[in-house]
Amino acid sequence: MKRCEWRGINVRVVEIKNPDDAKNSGCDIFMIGGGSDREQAIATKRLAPLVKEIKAWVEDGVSGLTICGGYQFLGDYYETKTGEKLTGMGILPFYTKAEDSRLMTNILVESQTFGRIVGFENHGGRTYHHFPTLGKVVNGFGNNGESGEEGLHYHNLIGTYLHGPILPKNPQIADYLIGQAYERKTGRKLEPLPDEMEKIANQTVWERFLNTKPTKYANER
Amino acid sequence: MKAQIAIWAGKTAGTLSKVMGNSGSTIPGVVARKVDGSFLRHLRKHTNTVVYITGTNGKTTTTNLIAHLLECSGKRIITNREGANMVTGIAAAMVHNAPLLGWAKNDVAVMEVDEASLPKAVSDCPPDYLVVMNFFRDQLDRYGEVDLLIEKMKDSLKTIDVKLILNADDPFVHRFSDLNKENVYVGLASNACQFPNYSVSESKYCPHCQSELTYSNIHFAQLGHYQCTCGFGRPRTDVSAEKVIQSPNGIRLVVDGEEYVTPLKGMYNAYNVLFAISLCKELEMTSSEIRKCLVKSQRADGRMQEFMINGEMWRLNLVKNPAGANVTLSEFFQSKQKKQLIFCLNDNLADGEDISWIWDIDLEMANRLEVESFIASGKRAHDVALRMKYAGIPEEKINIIPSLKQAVTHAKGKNTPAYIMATYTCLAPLVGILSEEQNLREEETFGADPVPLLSRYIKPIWGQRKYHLLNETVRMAWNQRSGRRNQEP
Repeated sequence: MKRCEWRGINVRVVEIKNPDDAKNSGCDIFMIGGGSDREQAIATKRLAPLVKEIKAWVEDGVSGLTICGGYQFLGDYYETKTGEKLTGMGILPFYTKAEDSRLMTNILVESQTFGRIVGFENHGGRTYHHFPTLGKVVNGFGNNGESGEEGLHYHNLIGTYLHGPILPKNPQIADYLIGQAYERKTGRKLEPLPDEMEKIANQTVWERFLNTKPTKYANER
Repeated sequence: MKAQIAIWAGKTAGTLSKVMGNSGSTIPGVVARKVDGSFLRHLRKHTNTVVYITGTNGKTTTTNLIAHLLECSGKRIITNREGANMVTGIAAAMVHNAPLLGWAKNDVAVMEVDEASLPKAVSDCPPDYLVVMNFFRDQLDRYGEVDLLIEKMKDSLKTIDVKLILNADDPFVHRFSDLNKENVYVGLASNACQFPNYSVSESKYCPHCQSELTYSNIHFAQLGHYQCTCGFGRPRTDVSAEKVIQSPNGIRLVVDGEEYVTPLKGMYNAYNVLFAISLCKELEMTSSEIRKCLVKSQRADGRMQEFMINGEMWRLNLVKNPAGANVTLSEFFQSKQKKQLIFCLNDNLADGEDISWIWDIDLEMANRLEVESFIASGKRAHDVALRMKYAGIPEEKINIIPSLKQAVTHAKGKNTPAYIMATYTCLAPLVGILSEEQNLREEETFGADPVPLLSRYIKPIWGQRKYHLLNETVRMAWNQRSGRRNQEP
């Protein structure tokens, strides 16, 4: 929002508490965050009537950012540690499986589209899919700790575990989401911002965590 | 016998670690528990009453307050005053408290217990009273999620006989009610005080039916007078603060018609004081005893601590999470005088490696003319600076100075007081740096008497048993001192 404001683009933020809020919003960018398993189940239930709408947004190239739980529940299901399958929104065909250890660390990702991405990941779920990703994990765990890939990038929809938070230190991603939406709406390209502070912050984290060893945390204490 | 060896091992380890120059307050506890795995059960055996204090914010202050009040009323107590609140911290307090042989007999154990450590502490040493203060989003990287955490804490209490002192104003804490223990509900009456408003980041949903809670009165964050359509709502209080009044010398509370005064400053201390009063009443202290002792209470290091530097009153407060940081900021902005704001953020394990919580702080409210300069400091200085920038603070007002020492020096160069928020591992170094700055000033003023100055250099050496360094230090101190005097015009 700030980055739009700095460019003189008016933004309206609508908080979605019930399906009608979304249907009437005519949104250009949508964002779904994460929460605890309990909160996630509530949110998914409430979002169910919107699934068709969101699917259409994604296929139309509306910019979307989904993080952690929001990312996991784009898929078909989320399998808990006890083997229970929580139904996802089914926007895209993929799944997430929870495991005991939590993947919790500073993460560095090298992306062809976005360059160096830095953030913090904290998730018990392992996500498996065949869509294009955000990029290769240089340090940290990423989608499932095995594939060496992080996130999902389909049309203008981004799913990611980087909640650290992703946008301020990776302004190129923020501008991608804004830029696609802006171009879609006005046909014009987005003016770049200087972003000196952002670039230094990104670089500082990158250099500091390039050679550290990420450890898995036990979920149970 | 095993316990005795554990105590000796712990004491030895503690002394060794001090000689090596570590301040590690939990090392004796770590060692004692290595020798005797269920070391904590001895606390139960040798103490009449065991009190645990847990929750996200205010644990340390409340623990210190309760310990102070009980001690003042003549009780023999054992406590982990330094905020070492994991099982090892409690064990360390036990080692420290034990005489060379056997155990000291105490009336009350007053222990601050970290939320995630509670189940372990309870199983080794079940408490008689448990104070549950509040739950805010805090260091989620260590704890997992708040929901999960609360359930684990509750599970650990199921089979024991314990009286709960619960915060009536926090819907999260109210979830302990269904344990069906004996409960004492403590809260602030509606409009008891005016906490400045800021955006709420906690989820305010009913734990039973998941609907959004409605509030007739919000104190701060999710704390207030709440109600859900399903019937879940704020319980009736047993102890209630009807009025909290702030003054330059501290806060005044009217609790169930009786007035209490404390030198602790800051509205957020209202809950801490209220919990301390409630618990001490449970332990049969009289109102007049509590009132008398409360006046003499002192705050812990880094809790709205004041430092006189260059003739200006600086302030330092610990922040761990958005709720605490927001309250800190609103305290800072009670005065409209010109000031600087320093935010020191580290990401060590004790601070929380995940620093995303700073984006939930309402730093937007710090963007005001009276704040002439902002300093982002600590290992995560760049993240703080970005947060400030996105709060709308002009970039030219933001200084990025990762070194704490340099940040303080920079701020000293301006003629306005600095208000500092710092995360856990920034706190001790900052207290050191700021105390030194403050002492520097005192020496210049009261320079004629060499005794306090010398003792400052000698004391740490006595502590470390490095006598041979003594002569050297006296010489250094003397040189430094004459050097400074010579520089004066």
